[in-house]
Amino acid sequence: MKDVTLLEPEAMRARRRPLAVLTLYVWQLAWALVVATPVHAWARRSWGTHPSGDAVLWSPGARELLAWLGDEGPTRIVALRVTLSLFVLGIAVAQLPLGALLASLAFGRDEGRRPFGAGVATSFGVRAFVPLGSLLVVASIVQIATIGVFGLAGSALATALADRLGDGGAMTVRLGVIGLGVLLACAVGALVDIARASAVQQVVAADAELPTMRAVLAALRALVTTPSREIRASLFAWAWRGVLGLVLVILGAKAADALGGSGGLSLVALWLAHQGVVLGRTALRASWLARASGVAARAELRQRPSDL
Amino acid sequence: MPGPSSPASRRARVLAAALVVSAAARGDVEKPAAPPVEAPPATGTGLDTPMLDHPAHVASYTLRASLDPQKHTLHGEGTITFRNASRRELSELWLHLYLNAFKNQSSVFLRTPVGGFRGTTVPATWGTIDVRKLTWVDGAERRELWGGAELRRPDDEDETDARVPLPRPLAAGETMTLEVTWDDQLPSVVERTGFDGSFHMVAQWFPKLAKLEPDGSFAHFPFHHLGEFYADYGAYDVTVDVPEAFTIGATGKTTEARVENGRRIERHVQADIHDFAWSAWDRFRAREETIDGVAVKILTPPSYDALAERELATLRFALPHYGKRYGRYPYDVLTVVHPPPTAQEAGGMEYPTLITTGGAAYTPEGVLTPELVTIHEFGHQYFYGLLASHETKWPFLDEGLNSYAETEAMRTWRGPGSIVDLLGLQVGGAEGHAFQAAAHDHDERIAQPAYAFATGSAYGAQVYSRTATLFETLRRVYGDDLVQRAIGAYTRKFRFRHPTPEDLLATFAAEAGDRVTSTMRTALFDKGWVDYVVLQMSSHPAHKPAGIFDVAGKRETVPVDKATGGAKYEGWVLVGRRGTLSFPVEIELVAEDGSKKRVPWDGHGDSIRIPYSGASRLVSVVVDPDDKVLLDEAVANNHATAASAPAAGAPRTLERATYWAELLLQAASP
Repeated sequence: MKDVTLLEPEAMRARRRPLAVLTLYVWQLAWALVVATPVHAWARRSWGTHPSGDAVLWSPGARELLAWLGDEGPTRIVALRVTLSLFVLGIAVAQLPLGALLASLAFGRDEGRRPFGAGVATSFGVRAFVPLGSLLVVASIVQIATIGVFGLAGSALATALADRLGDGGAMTVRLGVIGLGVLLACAVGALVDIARASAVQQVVAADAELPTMRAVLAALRALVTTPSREIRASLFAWAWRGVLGLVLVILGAKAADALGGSGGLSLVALWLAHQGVVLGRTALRASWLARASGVAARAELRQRPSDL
Repeated sequence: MPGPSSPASRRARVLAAALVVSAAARGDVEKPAAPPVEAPPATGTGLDTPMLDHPAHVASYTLRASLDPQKHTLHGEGTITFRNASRRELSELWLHLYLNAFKNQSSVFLRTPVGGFRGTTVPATWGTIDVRKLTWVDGAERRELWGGAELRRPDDEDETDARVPLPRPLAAGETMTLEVTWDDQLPSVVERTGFDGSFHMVAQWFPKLAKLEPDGSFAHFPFHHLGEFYADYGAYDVTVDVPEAFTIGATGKTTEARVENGRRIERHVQADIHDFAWSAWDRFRAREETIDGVAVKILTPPSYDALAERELATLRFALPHYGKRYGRYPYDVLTVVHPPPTAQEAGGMEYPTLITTGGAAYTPEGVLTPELVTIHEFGHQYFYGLLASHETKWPFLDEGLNSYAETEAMRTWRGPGSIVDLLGLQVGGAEGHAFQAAAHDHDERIAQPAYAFATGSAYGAQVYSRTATLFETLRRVYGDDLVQRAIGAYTRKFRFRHPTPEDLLATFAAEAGDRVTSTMRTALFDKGWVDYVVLQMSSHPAHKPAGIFDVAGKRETVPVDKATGGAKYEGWVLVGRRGTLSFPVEIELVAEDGSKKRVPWDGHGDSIRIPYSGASRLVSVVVDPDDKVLLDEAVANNHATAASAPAAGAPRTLERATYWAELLLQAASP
C-alpha cells in the first residue's frame, strides 16, 4: 500500500498504538474464553446445580475438586482433549494478531503520523501469517533442543560433582544448569522476536506477495547482521520487561490469596485483578515488540546500501 | 475371615507372659525369658486403658555383622534365644531368609506379576542370604540343624521360607539357644533393602524365626511383593562393623562405639522389639535433638539441612501427639534415615525405632511430602512396632490404621491443606485418601491378605486409602472423641500383643457401640460401600386439598386455585442411600430466599422423603453438606437444584480457567 510508511525506529513505541495493544489483549481474552469453555461447561454440568455453585470445588481440603478432576467419565476426556486442541490451535492462530500488531507498531499512514485501521492491520497479519508460523516452528525446535541439551548437561554435571558437592549441592547444580537452559531458550525467543518484526516489515514493504522463505531468510539475516552491542541492549530491554511480567503474575497470585474469589464482589474483584495482570503483561509484550521492530528496522537500513 | 483364635484367652496368656518377663526387658537383654503364667487381664477403658510396659520375649538375637561396602557383602554370626511360648511341643522351626527374595526371578517376590505399587524393578544386582551354620546348643550337646533344613518346597524355587526339623521336640515353655553363621550379598536397592553406591540400607538381613503362634504353629510365609512382616518380640543386641568413614544409623540405643583398625564398631541394644535394621553410608550428615524425652537422630544426604529441619519439626509435633492419642512411645531413641535421591526405594519404610523417609531436597514448603512420609513412618512405631499385628495377613491393621492416624495428625498440625497448601489451593490428606478409595470402587475386600489383592494399586487404594477413609468418616460422623477413645483403647490394650481384626472390632464394640462396629465389619470384610443421592424434589405454593368435600351434609367443591393454605410453599425431597453401609447424615434444604434448614436422617432404609414447608419456594437440596461421609463414592450426586430455579453455575472455574489460559497462551504463543 502506497500510503503506508515505515516509521523511524525511534518512533516505534507501543504507547503510540494503544488500540492495537488493546486489540491484542481482547483477542487473548476472547481466545482464552474459548479455551476455557469446555472445562467451564464440564464444571457447570457437574457442580453448577449445587446451591453454592462451583465454590465447593475451591473449598479447603479440595474433596470436591479431587472428585471432579478424578471423574473418569467421558465428559472429562472430551473436555480435556477439546481444551488441548483449542489451545494448540490458539497458538497457531495467534500469529495473525501478532503480525497485525507488529505491522501497527512499525508502520503508519500519512508518513507515519496516523495508525492504520484494524482491517488493514488484519490484512498485514494474514500476509505475515505463514512466515511468522515458520519462525514459530524454527524457534520452538531451537528452544526445545536448548532446554534438552542443558537438561542432559545438568544431569551429567550433577552426577560428576555429586561426590564433591553432596546430593543437595548436585541438585542445585542440576537445577541451575536447567534454569540457564530455560533462560537461554527465552533469550532465543527474544531474538526470534526481532526476526519476526523483520519478517513483518519485509511482508508489508513488499508490493507483491513475498515468498515465505525469502521473508524468513531476510528476517534471520537482519538478526545476524545486528551488532552485538545492540543485541545485548535489546536482551536487557527484553529481560527487565520479562521480570516485570513475572512480578505481575506473582501479584495476581497474591490477589487470589487475598480476595479468595468465592463469589459475588470478591469474584468480580479477582477477575479485574487477573485481567489487570494480563493487560499489563500484554502492554509489556507490545513494548518489547516495538523495541524489536526498531532493531529490525535499523538492520534493514544497514543492509540497503549493499543491496543497491 | 478374621483369625480363629479366641481373643480373650489369647490376650490373657500373652499378658501374663509379659508381666512375668518384663524384668528381662529394656536393656536387660542377657536374661532368658521366663515361662508364661496366668494373670488377670488389664482393665480400664478409652484412653485410660492400661498398657503393658514390656512384651513377652520369645525370640532374642545377639548378632555381630561386618559389612564390606565395596562388595556389598555382609558376614554375620551370633546366637538366637528362642522360647517355645506355645501350648505344644515343637518338632520344627521356620526361618525367614528374605534377602533370597532378590536371588532370582523364581522367588515369590520377583515372579509375582504385581504392578501399581513400589518395588517393581528387577534388581540390577541380585541379593542372597546363605546360612553357613545353625547349631542348637542343647546342654552339653551341639546339634547341627542346617544340614536337615528344607530351603525349598517341591516345584517352587523360592528360598525365603526355610523349614528346620528338630532332632528332638522342644517342649512347651522350653528355651533353646541357636548359634548361627551366615553371609549376605545385598542387592541393589529394590524395595526396603540393598545398596546404592556406598549407601547401604540393611534390612531383612539375618536368618529370622517366623512368629510362633499359641497353638504351636509358625506364621511363616515367603516374602510377598505386597506383604510385609510378622515376628515375635525379643531383645536385640547387635554389633555392627563398617569402615571408619561410614556413619551408622541402626535400631536401638548405641551402647558402645569405637574405631579399631580402620573399622567403626557400634553395638546397638534394644529390648521389646521384633526386628532390627540398620543403614551405613560414608556421606550421611547427622542431626540430633531430644524430643519429648526421646533422642532423635536424623541422617540425611549432604545439603539436605532444610529437609532435616522439616523432618525434625514433624517429629516435634508427632511424638507428643501420638503419645497422647495412642500411648507413650516407650523407647529412648528414634533414628530417621533419609536415603539419597538415587535410592528412593529404600525410603518410606519402618523398623522398630528406625524409619526411612523421603522427599526431594527442593520440595517447596507448600508441598508437604517430607512431613507426610515422616509422620506416616513414625506412626508405624505404633501400628506395626508396638502392636505387631500380622502385616501380611491383615495389612489394613498396620497400613490402614496408620494412614488414618497420619491424616488425623497432619490435619491437626497443618489444617485443611495437609498435603498441599500452595497458591491458595489446600488439599487435605483425608480428602486425598477419599479420592483414591472412590477411584478404585469397592471391588475387593479391605480385610484380606496382602498377596490376595489383584494389583498393587488395588492394595494401595483399599488397604491405605479406604481404611483411612472409613475411620475418618466414623470420626466425622460420630465425633472425634468416640473414635479417638476406641482407637486409643485398642492401641493401649493390645500394645505388644499381636492383635487381630477381631480384637479391633471388639474394642470398637466396647467403646463405640454396635452400629459403628457393624459398619466397620461390613466395610472391612464385605466390600461395604455407600452412596447418598438426591433422587427427586418438589416445591409448590401451599394449598388445601382441592376437590369435592361433603361437609355438614352439604357438598362443597374447592377449586385448585382457591385452595391456598397458611404457609406459602410446601414440597418434599426424596433422598436415597445406595450400598451396604449406612451413616447418619444431615440434609440441607435451601429456599429461594436463601434460608436454609438442616434435617437429620439416621441413614436407615433405602430412602427418606422429607417434607418441606416454608415462606419461600424450595430450590435446592444438599446431602451431607459438611462432607462428613468421605466414604460416599459419588459426591457429585449429593446435591440438586430445581430446574426452574437459577443455577449458581461455575463462574469461579470460568474465571480461573480463563486466566490460566491467558497466561499459558502468552507463554506459548509470542
